[in-house]
Amino acid sequence: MSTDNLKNFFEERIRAVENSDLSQDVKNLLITRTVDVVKQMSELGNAERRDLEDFRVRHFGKSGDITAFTRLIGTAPPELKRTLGALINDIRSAFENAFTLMENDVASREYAKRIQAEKVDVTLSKNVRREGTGGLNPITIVKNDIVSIFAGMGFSVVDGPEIEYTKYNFELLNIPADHPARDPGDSFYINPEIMLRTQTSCVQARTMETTAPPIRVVCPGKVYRPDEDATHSPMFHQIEGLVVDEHVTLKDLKAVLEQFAKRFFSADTSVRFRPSFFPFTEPSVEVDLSCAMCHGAGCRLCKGTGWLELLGAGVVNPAVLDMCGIDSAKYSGFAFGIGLERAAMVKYGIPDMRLLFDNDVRILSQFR
Amino acid sequence: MLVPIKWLKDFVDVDLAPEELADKLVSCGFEVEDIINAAGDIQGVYTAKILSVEKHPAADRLIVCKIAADKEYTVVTNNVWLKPGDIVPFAADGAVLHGGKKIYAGEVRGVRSDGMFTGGKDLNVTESDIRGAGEDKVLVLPDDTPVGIDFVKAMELDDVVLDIGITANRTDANGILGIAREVAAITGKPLKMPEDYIDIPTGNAINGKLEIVNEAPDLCPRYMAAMLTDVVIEESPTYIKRRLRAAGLRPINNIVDITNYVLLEVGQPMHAFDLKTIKGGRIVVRRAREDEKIVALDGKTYTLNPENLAICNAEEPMAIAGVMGGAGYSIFDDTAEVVFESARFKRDSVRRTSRSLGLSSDSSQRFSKGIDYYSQEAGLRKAVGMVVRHGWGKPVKGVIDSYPVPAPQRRVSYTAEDIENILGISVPEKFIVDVLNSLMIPTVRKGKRITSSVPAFREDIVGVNDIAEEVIRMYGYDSFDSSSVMQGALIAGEVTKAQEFTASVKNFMVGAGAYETLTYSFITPKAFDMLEMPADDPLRKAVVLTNPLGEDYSVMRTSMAHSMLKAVATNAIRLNKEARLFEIAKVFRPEKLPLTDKLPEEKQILVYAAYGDEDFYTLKAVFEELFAYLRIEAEFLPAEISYMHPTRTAKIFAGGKEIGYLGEVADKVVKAYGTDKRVYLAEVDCDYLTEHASRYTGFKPVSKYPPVERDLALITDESVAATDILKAVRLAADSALLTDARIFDVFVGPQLKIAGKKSVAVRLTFRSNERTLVDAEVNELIDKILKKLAETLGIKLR
Repeated sequence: MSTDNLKNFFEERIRAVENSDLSQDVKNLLITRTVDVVKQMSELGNAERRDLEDFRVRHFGKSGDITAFTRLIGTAPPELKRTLGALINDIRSAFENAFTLMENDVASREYAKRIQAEKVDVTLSKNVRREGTGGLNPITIVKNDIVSIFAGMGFSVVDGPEIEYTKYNFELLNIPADHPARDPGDSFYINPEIMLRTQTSCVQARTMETTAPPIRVVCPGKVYRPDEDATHSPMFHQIEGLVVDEHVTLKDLKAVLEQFAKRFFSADTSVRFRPSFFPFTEPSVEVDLSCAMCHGAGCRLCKGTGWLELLGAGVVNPAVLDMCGIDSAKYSGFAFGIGLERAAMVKYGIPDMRLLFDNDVRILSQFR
Repeated sequence: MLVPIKWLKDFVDVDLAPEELADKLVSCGFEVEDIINAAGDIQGVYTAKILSVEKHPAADRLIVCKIAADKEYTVVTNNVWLKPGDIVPFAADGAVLHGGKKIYAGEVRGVRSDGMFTGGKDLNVTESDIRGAGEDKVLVLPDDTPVGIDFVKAMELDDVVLDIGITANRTDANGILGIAREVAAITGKPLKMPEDYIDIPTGNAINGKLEIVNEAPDLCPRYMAAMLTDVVIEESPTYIKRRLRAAGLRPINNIVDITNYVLLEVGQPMHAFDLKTIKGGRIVVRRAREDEKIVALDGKTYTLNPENLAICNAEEPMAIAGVMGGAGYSIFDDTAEVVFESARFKRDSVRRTSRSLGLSSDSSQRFSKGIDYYSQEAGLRKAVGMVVRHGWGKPVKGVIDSYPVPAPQRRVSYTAEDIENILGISVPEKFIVDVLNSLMIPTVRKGKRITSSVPAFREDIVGVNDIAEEVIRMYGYDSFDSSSVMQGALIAGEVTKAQEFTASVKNFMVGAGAYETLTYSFITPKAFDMLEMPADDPLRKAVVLTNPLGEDYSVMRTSMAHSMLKAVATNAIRLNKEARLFEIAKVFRPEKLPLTDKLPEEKQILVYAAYGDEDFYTLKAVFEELFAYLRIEAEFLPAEISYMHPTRTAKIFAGGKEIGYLGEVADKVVKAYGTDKRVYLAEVDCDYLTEHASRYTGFKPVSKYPPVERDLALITDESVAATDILKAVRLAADSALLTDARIFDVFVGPQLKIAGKKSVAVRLTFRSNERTLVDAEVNELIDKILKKLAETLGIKLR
């Protein structure tokens, strides 16, 4: 209710009082007090909560003058009690309404003031870790991606030791004692029978030794070879895959790797086999994927060929199956090995493998 | 392996463009790494005949030559000795010389010159290609050189060389002949053996002059020798020298050059001895005696031992078998009788000897890859044939062949269906038979059964899988479509609990703002001193590599501390203001050293480090939250570790086991790594975490009733540990109603006015699942707690 409305309302009440049958004394009392309180009220204007409280106590408290109106009812003659009561109630409730409005007004002014006081510069940054929010190593990211693709195709994940018997790294993989691959220039040795594994294929042999087909596993892990340059690190990571079952063929290998390539890079990725050689697979193939960057048109990443060399694979050599205790007359299999550093370098466009082992947070913070 | 196409043409009429041939080789398993133009950059150089020579009108030291090439030109040169009739290389306007230098026509002191004459260096030819090419002046070509044609063609330098990567199984392809066999099969053209692969005349004559005693057939399964008399030692003809030089071999004389030529063509390393150095007329193939010495062709003296195979005469070693000949037993200018050795030495024996002596040669490298039994005879035939063809000597009748255990003829028998079972596609029987025959693997079909007789040069072919590979590499790997009919049981992919929780821990650490590092498993043995580990610290027991890449990478880490401190230092030294880093990797803890037959324990360790806006409690919070996340109850107790701050380090215990530690790294250790930051470090047994972590522990109802919180301000001795106060509180309450007890403030200082004491504020939360708690029962519990604290720890209410 605005002050004008308030005044109008009280003028109405005052006229009602004047026109009533009340004694002149009572009329005067009601009118002067009401006019006085209205005047005080209109002076409250931009009052604070404390002024309002004072006002309430003064006029509506136990000894307040508006409260005192009620006592008039007792002094009035019986025939006027009803009239007086009605008038006083009217006046009282009008005051209370007006007062509530003023209280609301004060509350909203207080709120606006607090909100202003609480203003922050939303463009300012505080408490942010300068080097970012933490992140997985690109090798872990790539490994997780690859593992989950193969897990979706029914592959389980198996692990094996990094310090390994030559038996698992060589003999059981059809790499006999006189094979050039056993040269100390190509492997780290601890003694003639124990070495750092040069390939995750060891886990193939270990798995086949202990597990009856059907086998469908991937083995991610660290491997070691004495090379160090922009494309070689003495420690690096591979994921080995192995399937052994009845009727497994080279064609199945191609289909599985094609599925992998399409999910790891993009749906239009295609797969090309080139004949190659690994002692533990026969036939052996190098697997090229159509270039992730130029999609086969030829670019810097694929050195203009349109193809990226990413993994080696093949049909498990029956000699390996037999050595590991699996009947090669009944079962066949395929295996593949993916270099994770190479996969990460291709996926993220990292020019030098050594950067993956640099551990500078400015590099690490680039991957999620 | 460098394969000049002209040399290949000695065996096959290749008419494909080099690029086309390369593509075909690649698709058949021979990776062509490079296609090299033998003439290099040279372009626009022609053979020209000088017609006339006149003095330059304006310069005494210049002459003006009229020359005939494709037409007449004028050339100004300072080679004033040139005369009419000389045939010289003429670089015309726009010609490119070796090294990319370009030639333009121009005026020389007022006389126009259409180009220039060049010397051997500018044309990348040497004295061994054309006499005079080594001199620093214009090269005068032989009189019979055709005039007016491209110099590169005239000198037969117009060759293309394929650089082919040979896979380890195809030892037979480490020679021109082996590649030629493949090219013949690929192109469908016949393989023609050059005429100089002669049949050495049969007879016994050689036996009267030479005896072979093979005392070490385990290291030398076959030793062949042939002999020539009336030998003339002279310089080799240009084609031999040029081919050797293109392969990086130095021409020496006709006989030595032949051995190298055969090495390149057949892939068989050979050796030539002067018969007169073979004392006693006897070649003894035996293990060297301990400390036996030989001066090799490189002039150095090598001390041999019984691990090394030696080719000896009746008295002393003449050659280190397969590695290098001795200086005194070679071919000399007056050599008249030559013995050619063509042997098979075991590849690992040659490799070991070469490595242990630190002596490598083209021969040892070739032997190390493995030699087949076909090549000894082929090499000998070619070597003797070359001598005969050039009239450099007469063959002695007969060949000596020490071959105690001949390799059996291998046959592989199979059906087309067997091939299909391997490949997953059906290849016509006729294709199988034809292609194997074209690869010189004699193959016949009888009904459904196909039988292949494996030739001696294909030792890689053992079973039907090898046959399948031969078939598919020729049939084409692009004949697969992408369908799969993979049969067999349905398998659900499985991830172990350890793998699953390792991933969880990593994700948690990322959530804590940490980046995952990647550090080498091998470290420097100095690490243990840098970490000031006591001499008897079990972590000093590290596995040592026998052939590391250097001392810095020579032992397998037993803890992650060193690797992580290095990663921290990398960042601090590069002025990165802060970093939180973590890694989960294996450490290697052997039971005893040196390792004998037992592999070391491999343990996954979670390592974490932080510097920047960090303190002990930011570090500890990460791990308290991690343990809560994994539902592992852990306790932190003060501890001392050699490389950690003595009063800011805790060991972590769980399930009654020590599972790790955390704290601030001692400042002098941090300095040893090259930084002065305060570094916080933790290592935790990740295997324990993944084994004991649990994801879901059963549903627990939550209380509908309000909690009652009480704060207690306690005064205690400064030495009392927070964990002991909380333990005493829980023990005293001995009630499920006490749902939480934590210390929210610790205050030590003069305001407390009691020396040696501290104020500890504890907040206790009580709550029941069944009812609203009343003050009386909470008060009763508080009284019990206070009583216990006073009794056991002397703690009072403030």
